[in-house]
Amino acid sequence: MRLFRRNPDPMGPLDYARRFWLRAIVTLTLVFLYAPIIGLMAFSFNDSRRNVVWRGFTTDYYVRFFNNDSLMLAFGNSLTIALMTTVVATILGALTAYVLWRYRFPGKAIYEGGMALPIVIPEICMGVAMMVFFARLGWPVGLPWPINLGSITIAHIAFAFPFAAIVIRARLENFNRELAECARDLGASEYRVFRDIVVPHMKPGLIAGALLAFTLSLDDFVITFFTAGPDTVTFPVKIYSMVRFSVTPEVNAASTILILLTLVVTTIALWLQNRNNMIGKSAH
Amino acid sequence: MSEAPIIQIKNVSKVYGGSVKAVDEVDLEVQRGEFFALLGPSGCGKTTLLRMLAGFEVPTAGQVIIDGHDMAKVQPNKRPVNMVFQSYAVFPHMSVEQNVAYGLKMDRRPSGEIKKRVAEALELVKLGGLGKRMPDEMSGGQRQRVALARALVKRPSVLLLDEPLSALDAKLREAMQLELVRLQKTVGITFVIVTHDQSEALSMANRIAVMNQGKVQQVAPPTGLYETPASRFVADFIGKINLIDATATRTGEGEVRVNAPKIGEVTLKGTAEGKVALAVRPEKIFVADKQPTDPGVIAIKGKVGEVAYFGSYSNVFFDIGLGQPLQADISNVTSDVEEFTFKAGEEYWIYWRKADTLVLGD
Repeated sequence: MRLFRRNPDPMGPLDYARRFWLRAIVTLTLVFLYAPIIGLMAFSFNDSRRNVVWRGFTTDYYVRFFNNDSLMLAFGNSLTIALMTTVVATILGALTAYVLWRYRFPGKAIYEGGMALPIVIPEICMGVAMMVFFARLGWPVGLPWPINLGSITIAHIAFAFPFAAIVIRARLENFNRELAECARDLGASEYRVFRDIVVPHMKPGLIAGALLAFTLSLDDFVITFFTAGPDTVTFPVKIYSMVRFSVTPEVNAASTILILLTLVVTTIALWLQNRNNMIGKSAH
Repeated sequence: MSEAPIIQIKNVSKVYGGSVKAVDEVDLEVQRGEFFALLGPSGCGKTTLLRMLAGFEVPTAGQVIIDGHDMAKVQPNKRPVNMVFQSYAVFPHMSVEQNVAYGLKMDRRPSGEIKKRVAEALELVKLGGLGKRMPDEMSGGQRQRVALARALVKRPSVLLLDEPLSALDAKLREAMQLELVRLQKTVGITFVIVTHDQSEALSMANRIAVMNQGKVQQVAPPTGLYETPASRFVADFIGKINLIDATATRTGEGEVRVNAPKIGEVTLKGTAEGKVALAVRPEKIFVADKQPTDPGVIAIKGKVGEVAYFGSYSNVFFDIGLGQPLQADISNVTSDVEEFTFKAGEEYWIYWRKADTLVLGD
């Protein structure tokens, strides 16, 4: 392996990449980061009930996954919740970010800090708080799908939108205010300035914020666990309950699909963002 | 000009945070068709004043009247002015055409008219054929032309320009100065330009208002500003000048008797009294070997100090026994280097006409 081979050239002062310890640390980090994930994906194709020894290749468990009604229902629930959360959290986050960036008002600092609270509050506390809150409200249960996902969706929006707001706010920070003034000078109303000038600038932030909200919602376990009812099981909660009995390759298959889904969404979002950055480059 | 002024600024002040006076009781009038410059060091309030014309700042006190209408309650998007911003503020996600068309679209002009006027405006700023380009495919100079076209296409009563040339390199800046003057003559719109660069203001504007610390120091055409500055600040800010501290007493109508060290007592035209500055521009100073006999000049002896050679002239500093030296710009009228070279330590008579001497108060 290259890692242990001596390079004949003398080491330069900034040649950190050639120090043994640095390479060792990087290698170990990568191993612990990716080995479990790659292992998980590989064993989803293992032809064995037990998840220990490789017994040959099969796609049986994917077939089983798609035929498992309760798993598919949980998957559908998760996607529905994630999509609704993404739309609402991104809009809320964008508006919050815009207000915090555009206006000065008394108590702004407190509002800004308060908005970021869901990010720093331990998730378990949020989960318990949400559960108690919905119980107190007497939130109806047993509603038809998808209205029964309402409480989970509301909880997800509440913890996801600050993330979106922060990302969008950061994007607005390097907005050239003269652009907005110029549009105003050319006859645009405040609303048209927002629509024609500010939103196009926010776009990469909107995409990044939406992506963040989507993935946060899709794989959230703690808060969902506390707000989910018996008939509103989401994908992570379902996997958790399956694992409690035994780790079958079916769980591996389900997880692999979740990973692929997030990878695809992330790739699309990054690609869109890159393309937008190329256009937005000359903003200054 | 017989018509009413297009801009009237009446007793306008802008106070920030209750105490910082950015603009301090300014009265100004700009005539129709003028190329007017607001000139001053940074922080003098010139940009604040311009932004009050555009509507981005609201005066704390006073009145802004544009084209006969009080602008107090008029939002920036409803004012008959357009602005070219310092950063040009070309919309990065729109093509050149879309940028220029934006203002007309906001006015809900029919699309046929928009198309025609956009093409005309682009032709006017010599960007014809580049309408489909995106801003990041253009140079700084071209982007500025887009900003100009975008403002002019709306046919405003007044075009406001905020330090429009400060981001361009020296060569382009000079070309753009001429270009702006040409444009202004072509379209006949009143231009109000903010600049900290005196040569820019002198070369382009019909009239200049010099500002300092929120106050207008003097409003005059370029020649008036340079040849007859109203105060020590204006004289010092515009071009180079020698200032000698002196005292003056009034002796008659527009006439003062000035007592200056090394120079003695002279009677000069002027109105300032008490502590004054005797001022003379370096290019109005002459050098001789013998004491000049003309009674119409002020002459003193000086020793050559530093000399800076600028090709067409030399900037020579003479030690005249005062704290600061007296500088003179001597034209190098021959190509005989020996003849015009000043050597350090040589003594000369230096003199200038009394008529070219200014008596300035603070």
